[in-house]
Amino acid sequence: MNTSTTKHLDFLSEISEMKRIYLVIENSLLKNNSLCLVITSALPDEGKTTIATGLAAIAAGQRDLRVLAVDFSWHKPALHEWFGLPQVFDANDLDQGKSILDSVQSTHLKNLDILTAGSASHNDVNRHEDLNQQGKDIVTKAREAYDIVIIDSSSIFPVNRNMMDPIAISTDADGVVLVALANVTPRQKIKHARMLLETAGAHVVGVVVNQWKNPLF
Amino acid sequence: MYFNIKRYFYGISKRRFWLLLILFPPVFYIFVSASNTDRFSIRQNISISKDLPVALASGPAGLKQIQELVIHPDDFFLNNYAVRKLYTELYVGKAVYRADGQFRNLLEMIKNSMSIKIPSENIAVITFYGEDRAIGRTLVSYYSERLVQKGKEGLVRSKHNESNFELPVLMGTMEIHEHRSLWRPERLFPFSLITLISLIGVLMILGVLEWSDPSFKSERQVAQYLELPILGSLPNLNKISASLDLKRGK
Repeated sequence: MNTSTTKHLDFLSEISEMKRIYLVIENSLLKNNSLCLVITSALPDEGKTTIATGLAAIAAGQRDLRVLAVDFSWHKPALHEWFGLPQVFDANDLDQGKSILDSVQSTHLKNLDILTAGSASHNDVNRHEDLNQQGKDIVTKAREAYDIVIIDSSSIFPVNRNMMDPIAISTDADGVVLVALANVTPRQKIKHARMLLETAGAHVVGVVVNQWKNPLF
Repeated sequence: MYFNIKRYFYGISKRRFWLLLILFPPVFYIFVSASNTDRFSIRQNISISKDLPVALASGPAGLKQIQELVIHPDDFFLNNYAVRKLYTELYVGKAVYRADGQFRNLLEMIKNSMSIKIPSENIAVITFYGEDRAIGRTLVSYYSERLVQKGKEGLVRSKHNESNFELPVLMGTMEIHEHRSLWRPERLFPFSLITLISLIGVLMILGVLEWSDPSFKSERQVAQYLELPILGSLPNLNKISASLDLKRGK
């Protein structure tokens, strides 16, 4: 891991606003030292990975709990870049009886591991269903092995058959955090995303507003 | 309120090139105005000796030379009898009242637009310069014929032998020239008004565009619209990263 990556991670875990966000989520969702949280947004490139990484880094530093950050943004993976680690997880290995724990990588932060996005080569019409089932299996196994699982999922829109559907994953999680990029995210899209999540049975904890591109902030 | 003002100015600065549209209506107005003929100079040459006495003095037997008319043109153009006669010709059957606005307008127009000159020994020129072509033609025709008539009367009154002076006559037809101009002082008010309306219009359009932007501008809007708690608001991380680097001396 290079020094630039370490610096960025340290920087994220230093942001007091991020610490407060984690505190609120922890107080509201952490039961019996177990928490599974999905970070999603209505549209791509709204800051999901940054927030997931920041929350995972803070969670790992808070108490002596094992934390796993999972990259479910298979269509456009980015989590491994934050940690400066290679993408080693091949989803086809799961079909051959391997465990996801074989693909988990340790980070320089104590108690924090990551599972990078999987590279699968399914190419049939049922891929969407296969991926969703695979995602649910990964979540179940991750929850068994770790206290806190933070999932960096893909955005809810646009939908495509190569995505790990965040709505399907969210129903197995304790809570979902919606990310909205101020001055960019159209309000109708995020409202639609919220409605889909709630109708599917997911528990939407709240919204994190990313002010990255907001000149009015 | 402060947020809305800040948002409005942000919206303007984001679409600042739209401000160029403010210039379009006034510039269009200037070009349309400049392309339209809005002034006419109408002149009639009269063959008349500059020494010929004309019957235009106040008394019934008095005489004046044309040169005097050039120095004091009001004596010729604003002669009470002449203007009243012209008025009744222009506005047929209408009684003349000096206090009447229309009559005073006519006086004002004659004063401002009519002139007489003697460019050479035997030629006098009566000129109209103004906005109304039809009125100008009437005025030039009326005063030219009047000068010819008064010249003939003056010749009779002065008992000069006709061989000393040629009888005054109109030379050819009236010459009419059209004038255009890019700018005239009277266009200042409509120009300013159009600019103001254009400014208000463009600023309103920019406001409408900004407020029709469907993205969230503040946490309050997110909370109100989604009815979900705001867990937090991440500042511009790039700025914080830069400032942390500065503090650390990196």
